[in-house]
Parts: sequence; C-alpha cells; structure tokens
Amino acid sequence: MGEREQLGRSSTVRSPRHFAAVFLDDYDILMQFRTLGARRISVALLFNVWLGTSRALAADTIVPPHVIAQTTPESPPQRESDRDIDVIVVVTVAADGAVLDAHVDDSVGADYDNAAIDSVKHWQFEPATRNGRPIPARVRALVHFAPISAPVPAPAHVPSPVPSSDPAIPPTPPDLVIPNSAAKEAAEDPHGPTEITVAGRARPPTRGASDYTVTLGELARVPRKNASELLKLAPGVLLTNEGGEGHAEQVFMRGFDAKDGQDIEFSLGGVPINESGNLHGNGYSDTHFIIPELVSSLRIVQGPFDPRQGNYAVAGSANFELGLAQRGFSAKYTGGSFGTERLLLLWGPAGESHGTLAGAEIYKTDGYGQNRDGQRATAMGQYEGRLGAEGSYRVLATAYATHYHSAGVIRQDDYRAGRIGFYDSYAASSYAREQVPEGGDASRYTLAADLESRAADTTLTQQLFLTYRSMRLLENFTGFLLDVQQPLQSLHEQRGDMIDLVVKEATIGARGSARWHGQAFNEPQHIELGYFARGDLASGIQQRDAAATGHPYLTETNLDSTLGDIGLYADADLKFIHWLSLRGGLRSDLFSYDVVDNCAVHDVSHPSATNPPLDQSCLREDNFGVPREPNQRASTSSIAVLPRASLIFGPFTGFTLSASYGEGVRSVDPNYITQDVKTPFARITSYEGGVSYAHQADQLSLSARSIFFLTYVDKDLIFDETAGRNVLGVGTTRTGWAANARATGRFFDQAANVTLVKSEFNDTHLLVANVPSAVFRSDSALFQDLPWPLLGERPRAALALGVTYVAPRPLPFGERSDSVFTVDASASLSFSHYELGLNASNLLGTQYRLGEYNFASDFRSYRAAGSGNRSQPTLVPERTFTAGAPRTIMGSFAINFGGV
Amino acid sequence: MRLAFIAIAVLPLSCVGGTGGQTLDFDAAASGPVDARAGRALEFDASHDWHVSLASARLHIGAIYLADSAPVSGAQDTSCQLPGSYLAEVREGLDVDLLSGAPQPFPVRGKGITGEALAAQIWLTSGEVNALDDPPKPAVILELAGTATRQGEARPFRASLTIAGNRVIAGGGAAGGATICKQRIVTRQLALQVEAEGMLRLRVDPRRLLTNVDFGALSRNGAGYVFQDDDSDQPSANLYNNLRGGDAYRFSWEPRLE
Repeated sequence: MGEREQLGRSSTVRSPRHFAAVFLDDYDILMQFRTLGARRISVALLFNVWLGTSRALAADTIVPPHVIAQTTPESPPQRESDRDIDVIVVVTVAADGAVLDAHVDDSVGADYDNAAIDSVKHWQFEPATRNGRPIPARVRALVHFAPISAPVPAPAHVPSPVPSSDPAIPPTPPDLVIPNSAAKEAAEDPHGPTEITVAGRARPPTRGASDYTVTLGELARVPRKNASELLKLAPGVLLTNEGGEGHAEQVFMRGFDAKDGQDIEFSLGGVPINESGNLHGNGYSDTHFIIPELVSSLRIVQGPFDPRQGNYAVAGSANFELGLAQRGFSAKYTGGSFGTERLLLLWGPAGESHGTLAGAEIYKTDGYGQNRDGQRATAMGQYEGRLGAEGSYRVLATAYATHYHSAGVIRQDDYRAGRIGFYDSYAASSYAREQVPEGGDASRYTLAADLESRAADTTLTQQLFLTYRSMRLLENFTGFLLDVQQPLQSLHEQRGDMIDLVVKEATIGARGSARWHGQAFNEPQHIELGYFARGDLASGIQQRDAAATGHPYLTETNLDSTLGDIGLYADADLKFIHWLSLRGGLRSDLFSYDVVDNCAVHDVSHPSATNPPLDQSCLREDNFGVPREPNQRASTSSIAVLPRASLIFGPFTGFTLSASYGEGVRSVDPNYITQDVKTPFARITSYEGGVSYAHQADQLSLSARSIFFLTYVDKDLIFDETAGRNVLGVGTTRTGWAANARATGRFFDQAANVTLVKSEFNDTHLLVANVPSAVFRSDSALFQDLPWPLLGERPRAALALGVTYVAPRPLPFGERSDSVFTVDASASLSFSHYELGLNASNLLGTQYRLGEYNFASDFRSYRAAGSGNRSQPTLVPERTFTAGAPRTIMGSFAINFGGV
Repeated sequence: MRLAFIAIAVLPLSCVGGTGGQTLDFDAAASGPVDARAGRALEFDASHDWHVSLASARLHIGAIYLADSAPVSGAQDTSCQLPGSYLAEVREGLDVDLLSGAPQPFPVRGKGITGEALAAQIWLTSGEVNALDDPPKPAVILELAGTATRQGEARPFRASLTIAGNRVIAGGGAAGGATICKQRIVTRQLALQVEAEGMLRLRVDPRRLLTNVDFGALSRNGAGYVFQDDDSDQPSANLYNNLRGGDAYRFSWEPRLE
C-alpha cells in the first residue's frame, strides 16, 4: 500500500489507421508481482490501444488506459503447472472505463485462458485519452501463472494513472467521471482502429520521499536552457555557470555545492556522465550534450539510499531517460535576443517506440555581454526494439562539440566604480586584456547498448557503454595575482593567472543486474544483484598562459591516469505486510588508481647553471650528482563498503512514510593520489525521514512530500579560486528540510518545491560558503484547446511559468550574496502540424548575480583608475560575481512533417 | 524521531550563522613618533656620540599590507609575497612627514578582513614593485636633512635615497634575475588584531633610521655632507639597512579618529 507505480505516459499517433509499436521506457508496470496465498501470478500490461482516429492528426497526445482496480483471478482448478504460464488477454476498454470485451488471441489452454479472462473482466480502468478526451481503447494484459504450489493466484498490481513518480498513490480507485459527450464522440469515431503497443521497463523501486521520477508532461513548456535545468523540478536545486556556454553547470543540490557536478552521479539512460580523472574536477559532469526536447523523464534520488547509486552520489543522483512522444519528422527554429539561433531536428520513426528517436541541433549565440559567444552542435540517436514478449533493447549514440567564450568574474569594487560594466569581461577591457580570452572547447561521443529481458522469475539487464570526451578550458578567477616573482626566477611582472586546462578521457564500462521476483509472507519479494564497472584513461594538463601572448609560461599539472571503479551490490525489496516495505542492501566499490605525474618536480634543491631553476616547469633535477626524473608514479586501490536501507510504510490512505539511511562515496581527484594512500575517496553518511501524500480524483492528481535530512561528509570539496575548482577540504554536515508538491489537472500542471538547509563545517561549525540556505522553485503550465477553429481545427494554447528564488548565500569572511529572483515564461500556440512559441527568460529583466564569491583577485583595474600607476596590487578578498542573463526573448516556429 | 527533532531545531537557524571573519574598510594613517611636533626639528642623541637635529624627514610609503602568516625566518629563497592570506591593504602611497606626530591619512581607505595579522609589509615604491626602474626616474623614497654635532663639530647632512637599479645585488637569482621587490618591501613581524572597528596607525621613528650611522664617515659635498644613494660608505649603507630593517616602524590598531 502506498507504493506507486507510474503508468501515465503519452504517445502520439502520427496518422490514422497506423499501427505503431511504442515502447514506453521507465515505467514499472512490467515485472510487478503481488501474491495472495501461495500461488503467484504476475501481470504485465502490454497496452495495445485501439483508437478511434477520425481526428488523429499529427501530434495528437494519447494517454493509454490505466488499471485502477483489479480483482483476484481464480487459478484453474487441478491445473497447477510446474512451469511459468503467460496469458495475454486483449481487453477493450470503453470510454467510460468499463471492460467491453476480453479475449485471448494466443491460447495457452482453455482453463488458463478463461481464468485470466474472468479476472480481467472485473478490472476497472481509467479510459485512454486523446488530447485529454476519453476514448475507447484496447489493452493487452499479460497474466503470468508461476509454478508455485498454492491454490490462489492474484493479479500483479494496481498501477496508477498519475504521470509522475510519487510513491504515495492511494490504492483506492478514483471515481471516474467521463463526460458523456466526449465518450460519445470517441465511440462514434468512424475511422478504423489505430493500435499502439505500449511496453515498459522495470524501474527500481522508490527509496522513499527523496526519490523523484519527474515526468515532464506539460511542464516541459517552462523555458529551460539545457537538460540540467530539468533538475530544478526536484527540491533544492540551483544552477549557476561561471564558465560559459560549454562549461558544465554548477549544481547546488540539497546543501551541496556540487560545483561542476562532482557531488551528483549523473547518467543518461544509465550511461555515466561524470568524468573520472577530469583534472578540472573529478566527476565533472557536462550535460550540454543532451537535447532537452529528447528527455522524457528524470529520476533524481537525493541522498545515497539506493544500492544502484555509485561513485559521486553524494548529494544524490540524476538519471535522464530519453523519449520522444511526437512521431515523425519535425523541425524547430528558435531565434531571438543576443543573436541567438537554434535549429532543432527531431525524428521519431512511426511504428517505433517512444524510445526510438533521433535529434540534432545547431546552436549559436553572441551572448548577452562581452566575451559570451558560443556555438555547439549535438546529435543523439537511440533505437529501442523488443526482445521477445517482455524484453527490450536499446542502442544509443551521441555526439557533441562546442566552442565558446566566457566572461569570467567581475569584481564588485570595479563594477561599482564604473571601471567595468555588469555584463562586461576583463578579457575585453583595456587594462587586463587577454590574448586568449576565457572559454573553451569540448566534445563528447558516446556509444551504448543495453537490454532488458526476463527469464522465468528473473529480470535481467545488461548495458555496455563507451565514451570519449575532450575538453579545453580557459579560466581566470584571480587575474594577475598568483604569478609572484620568485627569487630564483628571471625578473618578471605578473604574467596572468589564466588556467589553460586540457583533458582527454576515454571511458569503457558496463553494468548489469538480475532481479529475482519471489514471494513470502503472502507478499511479493524482490532481490536484485548487480554490478557496475568502468575504466577510464584520462590525461590532463594544466598550464598558465601569459595574458600578453597567450603562451603558456608554467605547467602546473600533467597527469596520465588509469582509473577503475568496480562495484557490486545486492538490493532487496522485502514486504512483510502490504503496507510495510524494507528496501536496501549493500554496495561495495573498489577504486583503483594508477597515476603518472609527468610534472612531479617543480623546483630544485640546489639550483645552478646546469640545474635549471624555477623558470622552467617539470624539471629533471640533478641534485649534487643524484639524478631525479621529472615524473612520479603512484598507484593505490581501496574498497568502500556502503550499506543502504529504506523503510517505507503506508498504513494510512494516501500517505507514505519513509525513513532512509545510506552511505555514499566519491573518489578523490587523481592529483591527490600518493602511493598506497588508504582511502582515496570521501565517505558520506546520510539520514532522512519523509512523508509523501498522493491523491487521485477525477481529473486531478495531487502529490506532496516533506523530508528532513541529515548528511555528513568526511572530506568535502570546497571551492578554491586559485586552483579554479573545488579542492578537498574538511568534514561538513548538512541539516535541512525539503518539500515539494505537484498538482495536475486537465488544463494545468503545477509543481513547486522549497528547501531549507544549513551546511556547516564539522570542526568550526562555520557555514560552508556558497551554499544557498533556501531555494524555492515553481513550475506552472496552463494548456487548453481554444474554441476558435483555425484551419479547420481547434488550436491548442499553452502558457508556462518558472519562478526561482534563492536566498542570500553565505560567502567567505562573513559576507552574504544577493538573493536571486527570476521569472521565466513561455506561450505557445499549436495547430495542425505547426507550433508557434514565445519564450522569455528573466521576464522581469532583473539584474542579478548568478554566482558570487569573495576572494583575492587583481585584474589591474587600478591602472585604469586614473591614479597614475600609484596604486599597488590588491591582495585582500573582494566580492566578485558572474552576471546572470538579462531578459532574453526567443521566438520559435516548429513544424511536424508527418509520420515517416 | 531524533532526526526530526534535530532537523526542526536546526531549521530556524538555516539562514543564520556565518563563514567566519568580516570584511571591512578602514582608515589608515602614518606619522612620525609621538614626541615629534610638526614644524619643529627633532633633537636626539644618535650613535657614535653624535647629536642630531633633524630638520626634515620625509618617507614615501607606496602601500601597506598585513598578512596572517609570518615570514619564514632565515629563508633565502622566499618570494616577496608572504604565504597565506593577506588581511588588510592600503594601496595608495603617502609621503609621510616623519617630524610630525599627528596622523597623516593615506589618500584611500584600506580594505581587509578581520583576523590576527602576524606580519606587515611596507612597500617602499611608487611604481611596479618588480620593475627595476621607476620611469621616468627613480622615485625618492627617503629624504632627510639636518645637522649632526659631536664635540663641537657640526655636520649638516642630506639624504635622498631611491630603491631601483642602484639596489640590485649583483648575481642575485640563479637565473640572473634580480629580486628588486625584496629591496623595496620591508617585512616586519607583529601580532596585530585587525578588528571591524578602528583604524590602522603606522608610526615611523626617524631616529631609528640613523642607528649606527657615523656621520663622520660621510662624504662632503659642497657646504654639507651627503648620504650616497648606494652602499658605497658606512653611513649610507647603514641608513639604507635601517630603512629596510623594520625597527623604525610601529603598527597599531587604534580607535578611529573623529
């Protein structure tokens, strides 16, 4: 009780009378089990939707019917078998949800056929809908008779029609009120049937209130710049970006400054995104290669509570799932402020599943201020096919390349004195001009394949992935501060602190699992064993470039790393009584490092004419006749054992309570590795308690959650401006509360979340800088067919609004940042094959600071102050910031060319 | 349940607390010793039985920095900047009348953060600290004029010191470079609490600049005696060493002047 299974997915019919096999990934209606007595029956639903299609024009949105109540089937008397028996029952569901007909196409024997039919005839359905209107449909229900020697079989489960992941859907069937006119309209559809087969993939059972699977639905209309911004649908997420268009988003989640994603385990369809061995940040996660329109859902687990979560799941994990509801070929052009243009091509082959898709985009912008231009191209393709009656496989390929510039940070005193504009860049100023400005290049190429199949009582998954990633990053947080004249160097002035970082990385890996479905205590029980393995070959070199020439004058780091992460886990989903589940298990990861530091010697003990001094990097030293090569190898490995458990109980209708404990792990940067270091990882311990509520009534679904959490980290990552990235620091603790709610109706979708958190150091109890103490986010969408026909059809209008509030963040040395309040909005009108859209980001035109810092920097602005060169360098901390984007207006036009 | 209580208790505090320290802007002033009176010569007994009547004394201070780490004693290969963090800075220069005990404010306010300063750096330069020469000509850092008397012998003297190419130590730096910044930066260890309220006060005692100076060894130039702008004689070398030695400088954090 209380557990919720997601069913509500939409599919799109491209043309009348067309048969399409659509596989819906990421819902767990398949492979669900419930037992009454000792006889177990599993039911998997294969939706084979028969649709009246008189108005089945392009881009119709069809939601399959959902089972909302079911009866216990009677097993055939005297016919218990020692083998599994599946019966596929074809059920015709009327527009009012009643079962009009049930029959078996492929008989497995009259006794089993009739037992299954008799059962299914008593089920209750919420009818299928097209564009929100109920229609008759045909559903295939797979009734599984397992060879257990008990007399009474039972149906599998009661899936919920709510298109979100809330674990607290009440089991009570809703009262269905279907407008007679709509049902009649659908029933009188003169066109023949269109069949859509809908299958699904097993989804891991929820870990409680902090396990969010966000199905975008109409909230996809809220303006979002990239796929990472989908994270905002979960509580406590703030995104900033000081690095520019092609730089990973800085993600704040649940009190963590994940910087470039190191504290969040990111994946795309299970393929890891975090880059192990990236010199800019071990676990760097750039999600710009994901086309947001191809994301169908996002699972976010805040906290390390699921044994499937591996390295980097400190604040939590986020897995993007691809899906494209709109079938056929479509194109979308977007253009607007600051010379921004985007061309997007999408293809969802008719007759294939939602998971079969292709997309490509070309994007370019001049940027909203100095030195903010960028361009990128992305291509993604995925094919999803069926594997037998219940299995499926996917092949995924992605390619991405970008070149961009970044404005960097601005000192507050310079801005206030008028020495530089809010949206300007020091790199373009007269006094700190860089020959090579900040910015960078990046590329990513991925190939992956996975399959999911079922053998007897066991669901098997297997995935292979291969990723190549390259990146160059030019960043300068401190200006002209760090290149201090050393006594043994040739005389020089400050040459500039520009970091010139190049990373190349190849990743190969696999993951797999076997999930056994059993029964005990008259309840379904599940045990999963799985593994994860990845190997990374990473090379990284970080140099400092002279501003005047762009030439590197210093090599700080030059590493070649061979990294391994092999994890095993066991996860149990045990149900003692129907409202009490214990989920969890044990995960263990072995991390291995083989790191060659090609620049291990930076100075010399006894400099002489024959023993080079500090003017050179990566020295080969001759110390009084004792040679010393410039490189150094260090290797180590260590094992992390990570217990995780969630107790989920829901004795009260609509409410689910959960309590979770988990330990997580994050491997350290290779440059921290010394020979045989004992624990090359940070350990995370997290606790939480939460309550979820869900209610389904008529056309309204409602869900809400409230969670208290406590997280300890023994070695946290703290931003270091001199390194330009997060570096290992001391232990920290986060204590906080998060809540979210979502209400979905026939014409609206509203989600909101809020997080309060206190992040402090364990030793001093001072606040961790940069982490917002409060984050509020609201996403709203209104959508309705207009009463005025256009081109013979009622156009559909939609409005969407996204509101973000971030409370002032603590900054170093007692400072507080400004708060952030932004409003994004969109309006769209779709008719026939066309859609017109208007997006406004930062609708209010607020001049806000996206990222704020407080550290020493010197951009030589004193030379521009008219002081005649009298001022000396500034060496004390000063507030700096990166400017958030001003109001940005974008118009779009999309056309769907039909089903090919 | 315990977790819930802890969380509920902490929630109201989620927006309070701090990261430690406080940023501040502060006034800064420099002056001569307490007993100095503007417009009056400073009389004192100096080394080698000389009695000095200092008629004028002016010191150019390019900048002042306070750091939270002390310089490494005896280290030869340290850089000009101290390790650790800088707590406070006053970045624009001031010509200080060392014969006046009244505070002479720097032209700009200082900036910094609270904390305990363990070292102070006085930058005796008017330009780029690492540049060998101040264009168009080296700035005069210290100017002194007065009369030294001993046993009835009076020796009027003048000093006009610069710190530029004339102070480069031959062969300094294995790469052939010269760390001119080491000559220009006077580093003094101290224990000074930088507080949110108050001002930075620097007192420079010109008497200590003339410690162990034998005016009898000065070269005669016209009607008086002149300190050389290099280390070519004992009094000139000692005056320069005293300028860089740090004993003449006293820092304090005092209540702000009304």
